Order: sequence, then C-alpha cells, then structure tokens
Amino acid sequence: MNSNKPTEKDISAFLHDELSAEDRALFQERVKTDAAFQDVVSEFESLDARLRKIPKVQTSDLLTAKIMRHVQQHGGKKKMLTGKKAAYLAIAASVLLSCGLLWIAITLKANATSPVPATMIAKTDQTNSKASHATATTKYDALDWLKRAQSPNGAWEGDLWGTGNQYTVGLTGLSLLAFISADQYQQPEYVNTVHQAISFLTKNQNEDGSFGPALSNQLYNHGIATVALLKAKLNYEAPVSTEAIKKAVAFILSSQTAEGGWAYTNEKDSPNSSISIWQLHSLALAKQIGILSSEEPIQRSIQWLQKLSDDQGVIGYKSAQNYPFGQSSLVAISGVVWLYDDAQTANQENLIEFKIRFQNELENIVRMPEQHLNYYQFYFLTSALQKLKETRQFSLAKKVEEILTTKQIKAGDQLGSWDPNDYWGPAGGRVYSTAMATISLAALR
Amino acid sequence: MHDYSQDEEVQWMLAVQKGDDKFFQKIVEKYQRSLLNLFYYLNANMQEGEDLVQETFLRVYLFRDKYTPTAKFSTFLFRIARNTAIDYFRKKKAILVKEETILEIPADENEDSWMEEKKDYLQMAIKKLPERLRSVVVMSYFEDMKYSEIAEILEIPVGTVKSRMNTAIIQLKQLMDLYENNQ
Repeated sequence: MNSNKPTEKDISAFLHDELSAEDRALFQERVKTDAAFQDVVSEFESLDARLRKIPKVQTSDLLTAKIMRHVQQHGGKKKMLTGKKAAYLAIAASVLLSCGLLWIAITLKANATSPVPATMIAKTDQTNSKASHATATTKYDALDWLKRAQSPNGAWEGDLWGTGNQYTVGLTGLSLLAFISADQYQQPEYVNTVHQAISFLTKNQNEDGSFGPALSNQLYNHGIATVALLKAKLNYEAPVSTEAIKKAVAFILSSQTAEGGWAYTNEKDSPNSSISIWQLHSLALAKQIGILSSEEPIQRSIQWLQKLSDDQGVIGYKSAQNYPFGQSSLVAISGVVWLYDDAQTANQENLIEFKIRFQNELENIVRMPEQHLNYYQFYFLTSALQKLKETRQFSLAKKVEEILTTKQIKAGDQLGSWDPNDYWGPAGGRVYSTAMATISLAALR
Repeated sequence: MHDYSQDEEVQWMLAVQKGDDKFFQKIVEKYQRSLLNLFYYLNANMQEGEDLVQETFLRVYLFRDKYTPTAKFSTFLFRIARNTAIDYFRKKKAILVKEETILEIPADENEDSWMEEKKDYLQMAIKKLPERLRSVVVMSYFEDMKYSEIAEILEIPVGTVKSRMNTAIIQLKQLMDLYENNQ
C-alpha cells in the first residue's frame, strides 16, 4: 500500500494481517470514516469467516502406511514401515468388542467346481405368481419382495428363482439372514415368514446333522443354513431347536479336515477357503452362543486360512496365490478373516498391507461399479467395513450403498428385488441377488 | 536472515538425510493431510490425490541427500508438491503447455470428491477459480501461510500474491452470489 490511501485492493491483506502497522492504521481510519468502504470490508469479512471454517479433506487412516511403503519400494531403502501397531490393534480390538462376529458368507458359486450345472446357469428367472403384483413403495421393499417370493412350505425354491432346487436350503438360509440382518424379523408382517423359514430348514436336516441334499457341495447349503439358524437363535429367541443346532455344529466339526479347512464332501478334494468361511462363521457363532466350548477348531481353521494368504494378505482359494475366479471375492472373504484374527494373533504389518489392498478393492468398485457388480463380494466387503471404521473407507462405504440402492428395482413385478445380473447372478438367481444385496445394505446402514 | 536449520521439520529432514528414517514418517504424518488438501483443490480426484501425495513424499525422500535448509520446510515441500501436480496433469493432458493452464483442468464430474458429504457452494466456488487464484486461497486459508511464503512457493512477488488474493475473494463473492441466488 506504501502508505497511500487504502483501497479495496488492500482488504484481503488487512484481513490476513499482511499490512504494515502504518498501513493498517490508515486502513482502519478509512473504515471508520467511509461508510461505503466499511460495507465492502464487511462483505469481505463475511466471506473470509466462511473460508476459515471450511474443513480440510480427510485422509485415510492408511495413508501413512501407503506412503511409507511407496517410498520403501521406490526410494532405495530396505525397510521403513514402522509404528501404528498399537493403534491398529486398538482399532481391531474395539471393533471386535463392539460388533462381535458378523460373518455372513454366501458362496453358491465361489468354488472351482461349479455348484450349478451349465444347464441350470442358462435357465432364467421365472416370475413367481406370488411376487407378480407390486405393492406400494415402502421402506422395506426388499423384504416385501422376499416375503412374496417365499413358497408355502417356507422355502425359497431354487427352481422358481433362476437356479436349481439343490440350492433351496442355501437360498432359504440367505433369505432368513436378510430378515435378521435388516433387524425386521420381529415385525408382525414378517414373523410368519421368518418362522416358516426356520421350520423349513429344521425339517430338512438329515440324521447326521447336515442340511440339504447330500451333494458334493453340501457344505455350502449346510454352512449357510447353520449360520442363519444360529443368528436367529442369537438375535432373538427364535423357535430354533438347540438340539438341531448342536447336531449341525457337530457335522461341521466332523467334516473339518486335518489342515483345518473344509472341502467338498463325497470326493477326495482339498479344503478351500470359500466353503470354509461358512463353517468357520458357524463355529464362531456356536462359540458365542455357548454351544461350542473349545476354541481349538476355530483357531485351527484360522491358522490354515492364514497360511493361504499372499504378501498382501489376500487368502487364496485352495493354496496361497490360488485365485481361480480372480481375487475380488477372496479379498472380501479375507477382510472378514483378518478382522477376526487380528485381535488374537495379529501380524500387524500384514494387516496394514491387507487394509491397503482392501481399500484399493473398494476404490475399484466405486470407480467402475458396472464392472465390479458382485453381490456375493459385496456382502463380505460390507461385513468387513462394519469393523474397519476408517475414515476413507466410511465414505467409500457410502458409495457402495449408493450403488446397491441404485440397482434395486423401483417398480413393477419385481419391485424391491435386485436383478441377478451380477457376477454370480446367472447361477444364483434373483433370491440370491436380493438377499445378498439386502444383507449388504443392512450392514452399511 | 532467518536460520532455518533450527526449525523442527528442517531438523527432521536433516535427520533423514543422515539415515534416520523414523523422522521421515513424522514428516509424512504432519503434512500428508495438507498435501491432500492442496491436490484436492487442484482438482485431483481422491485416488489421484493420494497418488500425488505419495509421489511428492517419494520425491522429497529421493532428494534428501541434496537437501539444504534455505527456506521453511513447508515451502520446500509445497514447491515439490506443486511441481508434482504440474507434471502429473501435464502427462494427463499432454496437449497443454503452459503451467497456468495445466492446472486448469476441470474436475472430472464423474469422479465424486471425497468431500461430497460436506460439499457446499463455497467449496464448489473455490474449485471454479482459476488455478493462479485458487492456489493462493488454499495456501492462505487452509495452510495459514503468510503471503511471503506463498510467494516463495509460487515464485512470484508478494505484491502479486496480495492482488491475487483480493481478486480471488471478489470472484468467490460473485460465484457465491450466483449460486445462492439460483437456489
């Protein structure tokens, strides 16, 4: 200003205390004596105050680790990753304490031996007459659709909904889980639906404790049904027979391989992480509910799964770095496993590496949702997200929620459902896609 | 003349120069959010922003042996950050040649920002400013930098910072009037 008469050009400098003492005095003098100038200064002040209140962007809790790894990889240093172990342990512990276990795995398809014959995959979704009339739009459109799609015997029948009846038990378990996850199982309009589903599952338990037909992939049906019944029992005192649950858990224990995992039955197959996640979840819930007293089978399973992980913490299908269907679903499954394990035998550096990988997966989905539509994966992702509680991932979770909401059918016969047009949808059918999307949304809200 | 070698962050950087990498993590933790903020207002999307932050710190690390404390550490860092952004957007929009225009690339409308939940008209208005004005606003309001430091980073006279700031406020006010009157 050079001690000339202050002008509007000096206002910002005045507000930022960038004027000399002499110029500042001149400026203040003009404000006092010039009403028009005072008005202009007031407008600047108002905007200045608003600008000062704008918050900075939030960084991911993982950004430091990412940066240090990047520098380590490209900066010519051998090892730079340090610290934050206590913080991560605290996050993991608090998450587990507050949430407990919430694993829901569905894998009608995530296995090397396709559980659905090609002829079934080609079969299209049949519109069930019970679901053919649209109801008025409600908050619970998805549950209403599932309710309409239920058969009188309490099942969601695979043949009617784009897959095969060999998966009816699994689909019924998934649908039951949707009502439980959405916390609507006790609503008067859904109580009968839920009780019928429980009744169907328990009636379809075999002598050996297993659920569903004795096919090689029986453990998918069995694991889903067991988790659903355990959660029904755990969340509210549903009319679930304790004896039936005990038998179901005993079947899982008897099926566990020496390695600690679970494999296809009726054949000499090595265990895979996809089937195993269901059984592991069942055992964890059984432990929580007091039906299983020993931690040993759970720990054995986790240790086996840990051995399958690569250097980014992604658990392979049957062995480390074995990804016959790509990594996406396995990254999601790994999220659930890691968050269970890290409170107990945590390898913190691997956990950080995994969290970075997990975040990248989320970012890919948000960036290109159409190419990454996979309700099966979404379930695991959203289950893990419930526990991660990281700033950046919270906003990514909102994006996943938007993707799910956008894909829900808004009108017509299938109001409230999700088209089975995701990665596994052609095999899983509309009940699968709707139940999984419903559970995922419930996990995010 | 100020002896910058006594500044805390400069001490950290000198320690890194001697091989003590734990001080590099302290630098990262202190400045990552500021850099992300800068890149955000330079119209990087979320992923680009994090990548640019990583790249900036990598450049700082690679430069450690040549580092001499001739300015505040933040001045040194933000100058590298700005150059990193210019290089990045130059590659992204290879046809642009002038620095001033390289950073004028509009935000990708399909790429929602990670501040979306808190988006308001003022933030939108800031992102509409020409880059030469936007940088001044961001460094001043979000980093509390003095005009002299901003001038050093942008390599322009202090008087130019002052006039740019004033112009920025006037343009922001006009944009705000436009947004708020069209609600």
